[in-house]
Amino acid sequence: MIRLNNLQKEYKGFKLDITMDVPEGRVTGLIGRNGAGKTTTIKCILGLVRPTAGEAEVFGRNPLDLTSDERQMIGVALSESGFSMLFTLEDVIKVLSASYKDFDEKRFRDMCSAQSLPFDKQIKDYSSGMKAKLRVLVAISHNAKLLILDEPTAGLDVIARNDILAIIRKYLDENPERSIVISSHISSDLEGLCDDIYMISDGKIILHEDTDVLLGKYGLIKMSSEEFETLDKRYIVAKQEDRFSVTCLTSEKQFYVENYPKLVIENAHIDDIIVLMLGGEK
Amino acid sequence: MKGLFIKDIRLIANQKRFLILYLAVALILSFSMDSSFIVSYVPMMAMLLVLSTISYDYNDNGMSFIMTLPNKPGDYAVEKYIFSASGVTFMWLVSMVLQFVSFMIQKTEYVLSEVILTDALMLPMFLLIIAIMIPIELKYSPEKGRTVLFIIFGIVMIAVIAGKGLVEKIGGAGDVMELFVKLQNMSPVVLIIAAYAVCLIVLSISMVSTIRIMQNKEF
Amino acid sequence: MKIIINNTSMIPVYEQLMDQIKQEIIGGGLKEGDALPSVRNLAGELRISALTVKKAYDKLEEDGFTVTVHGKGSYVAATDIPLALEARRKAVEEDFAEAVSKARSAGLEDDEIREILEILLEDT
Repeated sequence: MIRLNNLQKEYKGFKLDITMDVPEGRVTGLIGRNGAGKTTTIKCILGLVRPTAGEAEVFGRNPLDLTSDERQMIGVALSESGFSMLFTLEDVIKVLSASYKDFDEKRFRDMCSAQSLPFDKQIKDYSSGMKAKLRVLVAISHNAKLLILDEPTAGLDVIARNDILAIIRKYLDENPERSIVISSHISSDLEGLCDDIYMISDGKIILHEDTDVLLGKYGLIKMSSEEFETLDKRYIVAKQEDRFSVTCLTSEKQFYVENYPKLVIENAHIDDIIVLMLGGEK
Repeated sequence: MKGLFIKDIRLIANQKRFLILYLAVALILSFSMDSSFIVSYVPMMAMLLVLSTISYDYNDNGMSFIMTLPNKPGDYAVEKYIFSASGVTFMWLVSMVLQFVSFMIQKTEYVLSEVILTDALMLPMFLLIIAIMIPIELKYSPEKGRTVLFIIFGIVMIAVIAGKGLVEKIGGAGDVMELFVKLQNMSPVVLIIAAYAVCLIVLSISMVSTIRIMQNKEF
Repeated sequence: MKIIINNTSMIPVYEQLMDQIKQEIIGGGLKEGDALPSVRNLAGELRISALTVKKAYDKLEEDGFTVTVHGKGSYVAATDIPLALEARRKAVEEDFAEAVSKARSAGLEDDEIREILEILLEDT
């Protein structure tokens, strides 16, 4: 569905250089710190910016060449951009209705009511949670086959985040052909949703792995410096030393569970993986 | 493109306070003041309103999202021209109706041909301003556009004053006066046709450049 | 059907899923011909990735517990429960045999081996 081949985009002081492949029916997560390149990547996918080198393909074509009909199949939620703040839900409904052939007005109204979004207030008077929910509801309002969600849960409290994730899960359940590219810096949201994760840092992909493998095979091992000396380091991906111990990231925790039963071995969450890969030594 | 039209209509509808003021002043003018002023006031307010949709689109980073709707960048440009031109033209027609109503109410005497000539030349003037403003606002920014608008008015005013001064200095010297006389003797029909033709050409060139600007822009 | 995933366990999620579904099938909770929840549905309910569920479903099919009909979903296969139990029993016997052989080559006596087994049975 989406293919980015050595896609490069340069700005002052920043260079994006990534290769990415999202097949149909996949939920792919893009994780990285603020400024790492998530939004730039998404803008390249959507054709909002032009790459300086390399190619981007969506539905097999350059995103800038997609026809209006093809663009109908894409649902978008951007983190800092949406409908005019002066609009009310009624305005939004009228514009969506005129823009998308498959806009399902009744379902959209029902979902807005279910999320307690006020129909007669201007968007500028919405709370940030409501604004975020509206953006996601708009993205899924027209039966899009491909959803591109840029930080849909940023800045929200845990309940609001869960509400949005639930909305997304339900959308996926309705049609197994739907695909999603979702970017976030909240990895716990992505762990329970995405099939695979791309970690991006400083414009580059530093890790791409199935979530299943990340959670199943990666692990954290905690030990003393002495124990680290004698450790078989074949499957150690990164390490971090602090005053009292050494923490290692491994991509084969079973190996260490079996051979070093005395060491403290924990499941690694994506946050741990990021911290160690970016902060630790390799 | 239909979505873009609806969006712009709703943007304007949301400026209720401004609209009410606008209409109120228009009505007051119709019944009290120089009726011909209506034909410059009403379309001018309409022009400012339709151009304001570009400012609103820019607000809060909105352009990025607008460009993810199923329209191509060129569509955005075309819609703005159609929307602006039809909005201003429609209000110009309304203003002429108001003008004649005002004539009736105030029982003014008027020379039909002169009134029609002046009125007819109003529309191309506003359309020309639109043709200049849209590409500038989209290539640079609405703020720059506003500055340019002031500059244009400034230049026009200076030109008029300077022109008058120049003519007085030259004291009716040959060429300029002859040109003036020629202009006044030119059949009003030819003048009107010339004005609209120039306007159409400029609008077309402007729209084509704006389409290109939008296609090359990044959001 | 009851499925509980332990996120702090070292056992990969897809394995836990597989084991629990197998239990349901062997225990009779899931009968022959019953449909398993769709991949996305189960993934959403358990808050895990759809690929993980797919992996579990694929392996269940490999092991003969389920049958996947393309486009429709996965169904419990016509497994002979006693046969499945028999197969598992055999696997356990083989594991034991390996452990015994390891213990003997480490120099342990049969009594010591029995002691270890007793302790393990008490502990876990």
